[in-house]
Amino acid sequence: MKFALVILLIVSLVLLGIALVLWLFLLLHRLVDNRRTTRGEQVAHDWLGLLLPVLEEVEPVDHLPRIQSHAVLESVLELVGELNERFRGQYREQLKDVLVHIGGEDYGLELVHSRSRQQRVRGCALLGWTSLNPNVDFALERCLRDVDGQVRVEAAYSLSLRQESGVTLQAVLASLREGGCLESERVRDIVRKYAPTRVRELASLLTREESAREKVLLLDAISVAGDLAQAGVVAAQLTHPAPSVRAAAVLTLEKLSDPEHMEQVAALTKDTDPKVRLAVAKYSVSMGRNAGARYLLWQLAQDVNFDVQRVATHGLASVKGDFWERLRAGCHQDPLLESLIEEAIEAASPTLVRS
Amino acid sequence: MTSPPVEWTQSFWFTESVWLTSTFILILQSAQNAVYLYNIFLALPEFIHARARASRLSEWWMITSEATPPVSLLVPAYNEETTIVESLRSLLTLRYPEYEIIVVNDGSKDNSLGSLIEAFKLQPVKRAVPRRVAYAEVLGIYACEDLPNLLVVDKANGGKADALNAAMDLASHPYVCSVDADSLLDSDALIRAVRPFIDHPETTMAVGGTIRVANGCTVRAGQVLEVRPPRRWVELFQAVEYLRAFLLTRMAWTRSESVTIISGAFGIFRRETLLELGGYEHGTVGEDMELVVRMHRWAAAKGVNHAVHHVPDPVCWTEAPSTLKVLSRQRTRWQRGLCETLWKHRDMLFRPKFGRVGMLALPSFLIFDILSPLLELLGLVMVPLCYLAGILSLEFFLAYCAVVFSFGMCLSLSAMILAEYSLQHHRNVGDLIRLGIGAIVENFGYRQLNSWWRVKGIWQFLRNKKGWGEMTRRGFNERQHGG
Repeated sequence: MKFALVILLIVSLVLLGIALVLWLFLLLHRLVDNRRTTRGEQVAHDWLGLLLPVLEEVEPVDHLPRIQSHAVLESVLELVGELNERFRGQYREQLKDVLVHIGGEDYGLELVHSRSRQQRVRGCALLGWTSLNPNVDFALERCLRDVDGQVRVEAAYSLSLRQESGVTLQAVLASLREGGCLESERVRDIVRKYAPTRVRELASLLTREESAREKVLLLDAISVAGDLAQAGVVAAQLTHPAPSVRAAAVLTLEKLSDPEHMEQVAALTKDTDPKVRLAVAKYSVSMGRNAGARYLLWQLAQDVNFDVQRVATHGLASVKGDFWERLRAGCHQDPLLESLIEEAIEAASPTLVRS
Repeated sequence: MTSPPVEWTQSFWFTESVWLTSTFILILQSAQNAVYLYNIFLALPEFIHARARASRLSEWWMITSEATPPVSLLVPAYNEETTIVESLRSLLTLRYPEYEIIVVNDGSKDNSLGSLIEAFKLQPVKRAVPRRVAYAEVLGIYACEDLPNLLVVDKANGGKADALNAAMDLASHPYVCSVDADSLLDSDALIRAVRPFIDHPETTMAVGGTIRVANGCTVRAGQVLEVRPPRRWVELFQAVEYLRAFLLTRMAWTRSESVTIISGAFGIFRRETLLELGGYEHGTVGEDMELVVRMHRWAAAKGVNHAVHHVPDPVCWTEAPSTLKVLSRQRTRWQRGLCETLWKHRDMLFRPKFGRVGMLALPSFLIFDILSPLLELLGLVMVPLCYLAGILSLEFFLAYCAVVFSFGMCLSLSAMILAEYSLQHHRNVGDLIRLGIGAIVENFGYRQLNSWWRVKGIWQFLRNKKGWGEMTRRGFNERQHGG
């Protein structure tokens, strides 16, 4: 017992000693870090003066000095990133040239080979903003086969920013299947970036892929592309067993402003999933000029789900017509519907009704 | 030097029972500290992971992306006249692509509603009230044309849970975020907190952000401009405690997939799930913990693959009580809330069906937060007295002191070091020295006081005491360092 108590005493004191040493280490680290930050801020300040004339194309990019140290390069890269964000991509092309000139591209290629996952992710992100270069595309395609899912997502995103690379959307999606990467909403943005130039590939994949998640992503991208010619392929998904796919298909038809498949969409007003019915309500709102759509809205305004009811009632209030009057006339049995109608009237003409 | 033993203390049964009780207390305290130490190691990769995630998903991408989900902020307010306008202004400056704010005036006796109407030029509007969850009567709904994302609901008093239920029922976005009206959110807090919902939208059910003490910080126009540690000792101890007991422990729980508390001051939930669960529970003071535990129960019953996260970098700033009297009220109330939740969900304890929540999280609350404070206080009185009476040896006394104080200091310092190393909130070296001193000194009095308040909370729970008690606040306006 005595021995155990002495051990306990020693362990507690040793642990306290370690914590005190770590505290001292933290203080020293913060001192060094503060100095590094101050130096970085000075570098960023100096480079801002150098970069602005280059971005405004007052001076050529060759006027910028070459960077030798990694610490300075990191500070300048941070500044470049900040400028890109602040000016919302306004100087994107000039910044690409700057990145190549200051050695950002080489640095990115170096980072993607790093053993650290975080560095590889940073490398991929950096390469996404550089100019056309087959070496960069090759490095990023190689990263699509990385063991780490985060690196693959970042590489896929960077490749989506570099539309000219030869990598197919199918290859990108295949690389993201493992490790649950496809689940991330970020992949939605990646697939969307391919939408304007790869509509046919999207449609072809939509018919071939079996996974519900991939179908949702592809449908979403088709809606961004806005190609009405694909409406038939989209409508074929209205009977898919997964509610997420059915809902995405309806929303895509809504974005495509497709009136041709209204009958098939109408069949979903009795769908068991409220998300699908909500999508139908949104579709019907956008087709509001059509009498068939107004009938759907009238039906959905009496749905059991409040969100569906609200969208439908507001939609019907904005187009008015016979079904709106019918809804108003029959709402007295249902106080919630009555209040929704009042809300919708106020929303449609905010100056008319103020309680 | 020990005093000569008193005769009756020499009886066999007395010395044996003292020895056994003391040994049990020592073992329990050592075990508790070992678990906390283990939590530090468990939290370590979670902090690193959070940083890596931050660099991957750049905030810029999230702000511009349509994939970032719209969020409804639910702000219950009761007698918050001094802080509500400032808090709301802070919420209106959040960097987030699409969000709405629903403030619920929960029958305040002060002029909370009037100050809101005046500050934001609110007008009454018509809104359908679906009542998918239970809450008291809605007296009026207000909005303004200049701020279409702001809605103010005036309702009869029903408590915080009631107000949150009303807000979530009127919310229109798929995710809802509860925010205390007396708190301030960092402008990037929401965009950072929503990350798990973007990474794993199918499985993430709730996300909690980190709550930190604003006392001592420079606050202007609803934003924390400069992070400084509090000047007053009682506030400083709380600042350290928020890092040790809340941030670090919750990061460890995230790692072990057993987060059971998401602070009511800042937590994001899926609205659909909340409505299906029937919203927040009425009549409890620990409605935030109760909701998360009920969520785990619901998910286990339905066989839903789910995750509850705690994210360290999104920060919500709160005003910590600056007097022991108010702090005592707050802590006894928290303890009552814990007892109420554990009692209500006692059938989840030690049940493998509820996974790590049933087998790990809830039992550790029972042992370390309910039983331990009782024994801790007993040990603090009994061990020194019995040593002086010659019943316990010097080795035992020293080992006990080492476990209570050295181990305690080690844990407080380590938590502070880990949080500051990874999140870098305090840039000033002097501030880190001050926080370190706070981490050391809190072990001599403050932690013991906390145990006392916990015991008081348990007593109040046993006596079925209800209600929140009055919380006096000074407000954020004009708060400067040392103010």
